[in-house]
Amino acid sequence: MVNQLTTPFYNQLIAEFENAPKGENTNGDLSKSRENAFELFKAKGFPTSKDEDWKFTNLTPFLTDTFSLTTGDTNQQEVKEAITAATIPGLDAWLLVLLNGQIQFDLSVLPEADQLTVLPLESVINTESYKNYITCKEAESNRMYALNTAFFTDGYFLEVPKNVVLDKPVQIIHLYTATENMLFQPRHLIVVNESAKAELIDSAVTLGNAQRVLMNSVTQVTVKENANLIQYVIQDNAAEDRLINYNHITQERNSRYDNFMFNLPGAELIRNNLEVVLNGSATETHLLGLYLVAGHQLTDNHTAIHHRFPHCDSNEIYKGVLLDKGKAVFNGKVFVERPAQKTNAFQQNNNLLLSDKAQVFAKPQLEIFADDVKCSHGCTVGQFDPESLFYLRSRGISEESSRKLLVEAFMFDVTQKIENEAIKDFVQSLIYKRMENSLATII
Amino acid sequence: MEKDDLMLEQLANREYEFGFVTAIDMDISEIGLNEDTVRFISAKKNEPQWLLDWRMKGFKAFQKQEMPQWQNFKMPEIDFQSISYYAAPKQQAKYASLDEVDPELLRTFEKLGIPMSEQKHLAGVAVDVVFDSVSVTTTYKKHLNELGIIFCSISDAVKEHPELIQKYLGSVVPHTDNVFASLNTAVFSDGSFVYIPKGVRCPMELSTYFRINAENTGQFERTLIIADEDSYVSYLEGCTAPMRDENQLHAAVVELIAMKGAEIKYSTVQNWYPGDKEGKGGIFNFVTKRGACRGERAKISWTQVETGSAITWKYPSILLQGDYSSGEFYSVAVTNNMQIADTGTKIYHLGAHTKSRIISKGISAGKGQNSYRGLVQMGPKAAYARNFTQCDSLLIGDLCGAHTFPYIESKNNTATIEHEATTSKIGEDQVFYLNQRGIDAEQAIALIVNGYAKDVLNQLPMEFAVEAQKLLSLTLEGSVG
Repeated sequence: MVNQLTTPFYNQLIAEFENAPKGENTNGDLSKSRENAFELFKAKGFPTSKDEDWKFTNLTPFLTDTFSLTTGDTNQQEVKEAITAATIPGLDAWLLVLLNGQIQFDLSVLPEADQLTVLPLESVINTESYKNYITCKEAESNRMYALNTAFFTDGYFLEVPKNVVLDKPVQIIHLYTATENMLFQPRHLIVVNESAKAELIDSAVTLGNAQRVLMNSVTQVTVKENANLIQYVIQDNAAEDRLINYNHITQERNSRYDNFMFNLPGAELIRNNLEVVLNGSATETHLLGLYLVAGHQLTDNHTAIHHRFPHCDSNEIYKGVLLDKGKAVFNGKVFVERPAQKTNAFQQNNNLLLSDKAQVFAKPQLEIFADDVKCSHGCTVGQFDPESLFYLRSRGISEESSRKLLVEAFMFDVTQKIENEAIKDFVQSLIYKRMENSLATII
Repeated sequence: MEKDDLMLEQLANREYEFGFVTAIDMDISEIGLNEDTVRFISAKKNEPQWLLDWRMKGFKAFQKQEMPQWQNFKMPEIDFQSISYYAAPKQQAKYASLDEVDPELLRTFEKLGIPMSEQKHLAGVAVDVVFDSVSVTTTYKKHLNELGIIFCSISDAVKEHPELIQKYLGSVVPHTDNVFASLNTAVFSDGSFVYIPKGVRCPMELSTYFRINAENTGQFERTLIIADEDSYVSYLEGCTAPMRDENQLHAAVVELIAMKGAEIKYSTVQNWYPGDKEGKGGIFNFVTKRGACRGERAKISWTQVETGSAITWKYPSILLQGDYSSGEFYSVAVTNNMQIADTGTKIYHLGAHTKSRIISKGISAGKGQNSYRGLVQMGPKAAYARNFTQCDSLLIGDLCGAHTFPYIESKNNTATIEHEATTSKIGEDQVFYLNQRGIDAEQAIALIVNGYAKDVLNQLPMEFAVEAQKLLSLTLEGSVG
């Protein structure tokens, strides 16, 4: 704790906040929240492995460098190329491009304003209605969330008006330029109004000359009554990236929320916190994840579902394939509070270890205070079933193809849930491309 | 619904059946804990210097440690200075036969239903009666002696077999392990010692009865069981305690050591005073239990039925060190009224081809809180290790809670871990089906719960299984969910 407090990076952040001009620059309305958040961060510092939630994810080695908070110049040509590369082939979608957290309207292709409101976060930040969204009770003691709250300036605000069913998904491409070590702390807000429906795809690309990037982003989502939101998050990043995400979702009555999380090899640290609060009855929640971990990567997925009202269903499936010296952490919490009778909560986590150096730390967790509920979780860690492999080999299928088939089958529980074919193909091709060499070398 | 409420109320109003105090003269140490207390206990028991030194190390470790914060309940304040650390019945004489034992004591055991006086009928049970810390009588000793089996109190073992004690005591649960284990190391009063020689299969179930009797006396038992190569032993531990208004602390340490090819089966039925329905009183059961499979093909199995105590907080653990060794953990934990149980197991797979199986059944009623906390760890050398875990929770009433915190860690890609957990209530259709067959709701619940816990109850030795089934039905009688 003590040595954590004295890292240069910590000192730099403290100085940065304390020296920043007060008042106008930090948005009058939020300054109180920001100061409270800052105080928490200042007092507690970065999380350490002594914190239960960070037990297996030691941040310390990722914080030894110093990071700049001001962005450098961007090469326009590079931006164009990055967008083309990140676009999902064959997907008919609207496009929202952000550069260093700021919306690039000239590069984006967006529907009419009556279909979708897209605004820079700054333009709503001082409004009364925004204040309702900034507070997030579940994250009160989360120091990385507090750090974001203290510093954030940029991000998008996305609102789907009442009764609007978006005709096409929206692909959101986040571009970040890093000519030196950078810390980015974007903040996004998504509101899907009553009976509206939307589908969002998030992916991020880092530009610049291979410097270390630390990302500490927060996304807050509200899905109102009868609304429906599907969110895909594709984390296919460069090796220098360190991603820490906090995603907070509030669901109102009768709503449905689907989250697909795809973690690919690359970023040396991925830490996702997905927190869903069910703030009404008869909701439906699906959290699906696939993580492919390779190299020295550390991929950590923390999810929490808070059942507070009766008749809610939640379903969670996270599947992981581990290669090389990859390390995966999974923590799935399900809380069923006393009023949440007739809850149906299901959780499953499966891990396939394909290397003798890979490690898995799983902690599925149920906390139940209501009696008329059906809750279950399952968790497995294992490797290829030799009998299945033998069966395929005996049918004349090569060793490599057999393994590919088995991995495909392993991931099927998640991939079959992706309704959008273009996204499904894209994600699968990404995974197979990364696994190709690995599958051949396993003996 | 009204009927349900009534039944729940009846259930909540159940008085503790074994609440009585035996009037026997006690030799009690002064209240408080300091180095002198440790010396006093050691001197009282005429212990050799090395044991006193070890106690002192434990005491120093205890002073350095802080109370843990990670548990899933509010830790009651324990004033270690207001507890008396030593109590022993004044009559120290040994008895050759039951007739000589203090009749008052015998009556106590009769009330508890220990098969002490019925041993002739229930042949096969040798009871080492631990009555507030000091072993009063050991039966069947002769027969066991012939086989070379040592079954005696730890204090006797210190005198008669110091080489075994010195070698193994604290080798599985070190004196620094946790705050309660350190405390136990410093002030342990007595306990049982078992040694099974090479190749011997213990012909009977060994059994000991713990009983907390004197007011304000924490019970600090120390049990050490060593099964040498290719031997087998089944050990039973059963508990009931008299009704008390003040919380009593029980911080025992149990160490099991299984050598190559040996098997130890350890069964517990725990029915200590759980406190009244407001949660006043009751025992704190903070026990450290751990077994080590030291050699190839060694096997340790823990079976526990936990129905008592205000707070049960223990994780019987197994270290699978030898290749092909295996471990099992079977548990039924029932919480009613304000009872809390935070229990589970830790299994460390260190050797190759090690196997483990965990079956945990939690039953929560009233305002009881039941947590399963478990750790399954596959070390880098645990090639082809295998684990299966199943933990189920049953909720009766809408004021109770069930929680699971399984930690699953794998550092070996050939190891396989499976974990599954479910939470549910007693199915209305199941009760309806039984009603339809002319079985009333109460009996139906007893049937369903016993069926639910069967996987675990089946693991218990005969004498215990009967008692455990009765206990389960008693504790949950009338609780239609």
